[in-house]
Amino acid sequence: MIQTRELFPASLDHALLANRMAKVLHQIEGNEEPADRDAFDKAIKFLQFIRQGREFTQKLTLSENSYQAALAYGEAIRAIELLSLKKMPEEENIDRLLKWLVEVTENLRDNRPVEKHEIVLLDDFFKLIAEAALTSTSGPIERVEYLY
Amino acid sequence: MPLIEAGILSQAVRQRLYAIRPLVQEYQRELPDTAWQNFIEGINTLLDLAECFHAEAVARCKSTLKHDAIANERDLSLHSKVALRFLANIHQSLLPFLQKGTQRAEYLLLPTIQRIVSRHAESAQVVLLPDFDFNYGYLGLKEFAPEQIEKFEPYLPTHKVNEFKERAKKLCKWNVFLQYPISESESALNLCVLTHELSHFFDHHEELYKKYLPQKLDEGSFKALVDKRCGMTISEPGQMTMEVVFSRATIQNNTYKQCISLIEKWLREIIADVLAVHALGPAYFFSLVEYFAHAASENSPASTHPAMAIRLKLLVEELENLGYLDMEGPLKDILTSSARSARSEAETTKHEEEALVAYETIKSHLPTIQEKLRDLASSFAYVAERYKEEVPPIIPLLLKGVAPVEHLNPGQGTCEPNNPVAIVNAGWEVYKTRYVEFKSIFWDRMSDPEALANLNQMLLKAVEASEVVQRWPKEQG
Repeated sequence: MIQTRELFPASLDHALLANRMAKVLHQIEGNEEPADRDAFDKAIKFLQFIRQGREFTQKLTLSENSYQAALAYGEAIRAIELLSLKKMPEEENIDRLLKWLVEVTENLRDNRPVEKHEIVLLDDFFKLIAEAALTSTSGPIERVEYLY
Repeated sequence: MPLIEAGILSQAVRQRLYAIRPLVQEYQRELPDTAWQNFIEGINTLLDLAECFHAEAVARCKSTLKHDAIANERDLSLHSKVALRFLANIHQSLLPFLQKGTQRAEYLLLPTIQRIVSRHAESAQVVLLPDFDFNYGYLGLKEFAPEQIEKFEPYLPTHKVNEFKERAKKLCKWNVFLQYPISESESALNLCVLTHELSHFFDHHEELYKKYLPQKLDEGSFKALVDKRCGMTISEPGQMTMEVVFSRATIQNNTYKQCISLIEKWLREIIADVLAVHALGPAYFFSLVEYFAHAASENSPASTHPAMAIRLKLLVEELENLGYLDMEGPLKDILTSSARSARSEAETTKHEEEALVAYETIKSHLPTIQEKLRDLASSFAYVAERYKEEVPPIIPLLLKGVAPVEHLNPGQGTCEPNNPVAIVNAGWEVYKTRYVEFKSIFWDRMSDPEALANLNQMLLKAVEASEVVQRWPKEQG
């Protein structure tokens, strides 16, 4: 029997990245120059990884990183479901929304104009990703077993 | 106002570190072996990593976020939680091994296992651990400290990362833990199952499971499962509302993850089974059947393994490939009968839900996997021809109550150590076909388990001593 020991699960990584993006976007919203520009590239990679997870799930393909990609996609679904309660642009399709998030992040990285509401939405998305990621790594705080 | 303030979380990190460090230091005193010292140094590196990560977060909050209380709170809280989760994982995943290590299993099979592992990975430490869970286990940690350093790298200053990387260079590349049920300690016959765990190391080292992964899930069974879970049949996803689509998306994503997780686990078990039977021959097959008996296993798929009958059917196919089902001799009838039962039971094994998806996905891919593994194992396979040459000379020794350490090479006129694989196979053949004869060398009132214990002792002694005989010329230089 193989035992799996993930000391630093991928979800923690996602939570930290999402937090970095949230900080960078907060700086942009406050008209400051973001200090951590590397976060944009990492975020784009992460969003593309989420899209890859979606593709794997839709096409049922398997590869060595399909579980990790599907995990990231699962976190994104949760974030998007929560986002759908707030006002958002006319994107109604998950993949189109993810593609749109990539485009906005690329525009920010390349210093192209981005609407304020788009920054707010991106910020909300990453905050929800951080929450979803942390929730998924939370373990049980009590174990109760009964022997009869 | 957050439920738990960032300040409390931050204090918790310091307290966790304060509590764990002396615990690890105590184990460091109790476990002086090189393998353990290396592993403990790895753990200490990770504790320092967590401390450094947390300290950087605290410093950053104090300097850059001091004017923004909300951002400060959120940032410190997140980083403290990450550090705490990391420390909790170290606590529950790594420290128990240290505790088990203090059981001091003086282990007769360890030198042989270490030799096999070193052939594949020079920088590898193996530890055998008795466990109170009635199962066998493999835990392989590949560069466990460098891997974690890489994950924390974006959040630490460069000079600190370099310091940690330098420390990690002194650690060995592989830490391998093989677990066995503590009550099996004295059974050489049953401990043949450890070959399966060792095969997991080979798979891990060569990353075979990645190469042999099927390319796609079985579509029919997967869609049926998702539909069932959604509670409805959907023909046109585009017609769904966002809420229904997202719900289906969540169900599909969760189902997909469950299925691929199962497939990966089953695939790795299949690889381990095939490699083990090629390495050890019938001894592995018999020991696995015995283990299923001792565990009172049922023939049903599990979240970690394919169903028992599926596994045994696979093993008899491999034994057939190795020539054992055609090998004339005392084992032929037993193996032929076992093959018949395994094939018949495998046909009627029930699979449901994600197990059905995993089974249907792997089933069509299995012949390809078997072919590739046979090819890989051809250099070390214990084929029937080799069995016929090495095992029969050992059996008379066992029947006389002599530990079969070595044999005379008539051509050279020298004594040569017996192959451990031949020793355990001889043990199984005696147990399966000549046990009454073996038992007759002891006094009348000796019980079956006692006589079996004697057989196991002879086998353990023989394996250990043959290893010494094998290494002695090299040690002498």
